[in-house]
Amino acid sequence: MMKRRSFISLLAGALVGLRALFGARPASAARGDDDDLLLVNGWIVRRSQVSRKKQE
Amino acid sequence: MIFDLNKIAAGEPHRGYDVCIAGAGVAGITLAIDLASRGRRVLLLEGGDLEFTETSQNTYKGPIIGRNYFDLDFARLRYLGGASNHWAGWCRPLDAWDFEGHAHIPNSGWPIAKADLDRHFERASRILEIPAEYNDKPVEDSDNAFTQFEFQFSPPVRFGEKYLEELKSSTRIDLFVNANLTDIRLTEATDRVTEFQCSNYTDRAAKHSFTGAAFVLAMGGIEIPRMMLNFRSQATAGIGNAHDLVGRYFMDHFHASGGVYAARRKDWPYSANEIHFAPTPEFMARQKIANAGLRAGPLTDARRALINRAKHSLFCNEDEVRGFARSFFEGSCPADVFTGGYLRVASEQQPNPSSRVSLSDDTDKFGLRRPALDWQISALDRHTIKHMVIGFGRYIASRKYGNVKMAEWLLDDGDPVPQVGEDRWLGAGFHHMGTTRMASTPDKGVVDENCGVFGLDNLFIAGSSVFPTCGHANPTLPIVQLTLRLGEHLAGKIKT
Ligand SMILES: Cc1cc2nc3c(=O)[nH]c(=O)nc-3n(C[C@H](O)[C@H](O)[C@H](O)COP(=O)(O)OP(=O)(O)OC[C@H]3O[C@@H](n4cnc5c(N)ncnc54)[C@H](O)[C@@H]3O)c2cc1C
Repeated sequence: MMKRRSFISLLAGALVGLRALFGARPASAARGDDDDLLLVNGWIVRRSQVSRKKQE
Repeated sequence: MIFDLNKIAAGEPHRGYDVCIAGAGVAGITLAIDLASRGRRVLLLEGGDLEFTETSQNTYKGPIIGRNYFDLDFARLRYLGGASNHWAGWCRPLDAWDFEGHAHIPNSGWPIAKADLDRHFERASRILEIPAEYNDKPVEDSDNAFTQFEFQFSPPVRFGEKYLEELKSSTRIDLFVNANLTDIRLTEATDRVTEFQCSNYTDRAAKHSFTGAAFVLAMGGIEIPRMMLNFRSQATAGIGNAHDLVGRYFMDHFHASGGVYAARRKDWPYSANEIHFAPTPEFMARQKIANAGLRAGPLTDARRALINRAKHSLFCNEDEVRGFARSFFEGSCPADVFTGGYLRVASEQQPNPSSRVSLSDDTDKFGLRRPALDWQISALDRHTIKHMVIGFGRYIASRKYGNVKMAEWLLDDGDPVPQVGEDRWLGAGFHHMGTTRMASTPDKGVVDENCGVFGLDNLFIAGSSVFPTCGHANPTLPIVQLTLRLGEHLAGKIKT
């Protein structure tokens, strides 16, 4: 449970970071198939790269 | 012919030159050789000797009063050939975009177009011993964000060595070494130059005079404004400085580490060697950034080990992070699966009047005030680097090629920009530009579109101090192109 909560808060933190960085606009610099990018610990990643664990 | 001013006593003026050039570096030597080939009599004054001397180099010292910068006597060399004695040879022409003014970059744009320099591109390339072609190509799958571009690499040409024999044997060029420009004399109306005055190291107080039809300053982007600001005996604000513009708008290329990239080897479509990406005009307009060159290249083994350790700590160590972070790379963590390396960005700087060369209170051995450099980085410079890195990160992530980790300082706009000496990369490029900028009118710049100093009929400037906007290309190829253009102009003005 504890683990789960901290994982979610980390993800939420990442999303806040992403908004600060990219602004409200969707990814537009290099639009690809997967438009949904996140900033996680400084890494620019696709949502699918971090969401798999959530589905487990 | 080559003369040593240390061995000559001051006396009657040396007369009869069509063009007198102060400074025998890239620009000065190129111009002298070009004008001689057009049948003109040329004087070339070099403050240093044929080889490095401490005595001459000491004249290049000066305080850094703004952001950190390289020591000024480290960032340049003061003897025949100038900074070409230690330049690295990276070459690239400016882009057409660099010449245009852009609303989001205050004070940007040239009064001439790229086509004006293109005419001299092939000859300049031959001088620098580089191919006259760049296989730049649009990055097709980047949503028109990037161009993959090339540099050409000069051997690098050392101008003093390459042209020594030609200077020695030339009957049209008189090169004086140990000949330090220490004053410029003007007519009473202060509208023309009458002579260059020089001092040697053996009798520093004695003035040697040189007269000619036209005069050219070619002492590099810091020394040219320094001298113009020093010479005040007839022009109270300094030569060409009626509008207080001399020395302002100092630009270098802001070189900063943008982070790292990591990719699975099998997904990475590019070379593992350094690759170069520039923003397209559309991307620059969209992101409101200046021009820049992003370099993605391999890490050295030691640094590769570091990034792998970093990746392991991010993806594999902490319980909390492990689960989802592993999936960045679909579960695979072993180091040998990855490629990756550094991201570096060399960015054009916004022309900024507060970034400047002024005079310090210290004087050199000739009693001339030393330069004080106040180099500044603007919010746009930071914004450019940040958005190049974000754009590249988005591109490789959305195409499933890999991922970018942004450098810490880019994550928070409140964080300080890394200084020269702190940044993992260089911090700056040793490119001294903008300090006598070219403009259409004297209230906007120091020289006109022919590199002629406003208000002085026969004084010209050769070198990157005239660049009003600098693009991201290294300056030496454009310096040679502009200098050949100046040679053509002077030859047209001064008939044999
Ligand atoms: C470490 C380093 C690496 C570089 N790498 C690159 C690169 O890869 N690509 C690139 O494009 N550029 C590079 N550059 C920049 C390049 O060296 C300059 O663009 C180029 O040398 C400028 O040419 P210049 O003739 O204007 O000035 P300089 O080469 O500096 O020549 C000025 C000359 O004027 C003389 N002089 C100075 N004061 C006086 C005076 N009062 N009287 C008489 N003579 C005087 C000097 O002795 C010198 O010979 C590099 C520079 C450095 C320092």
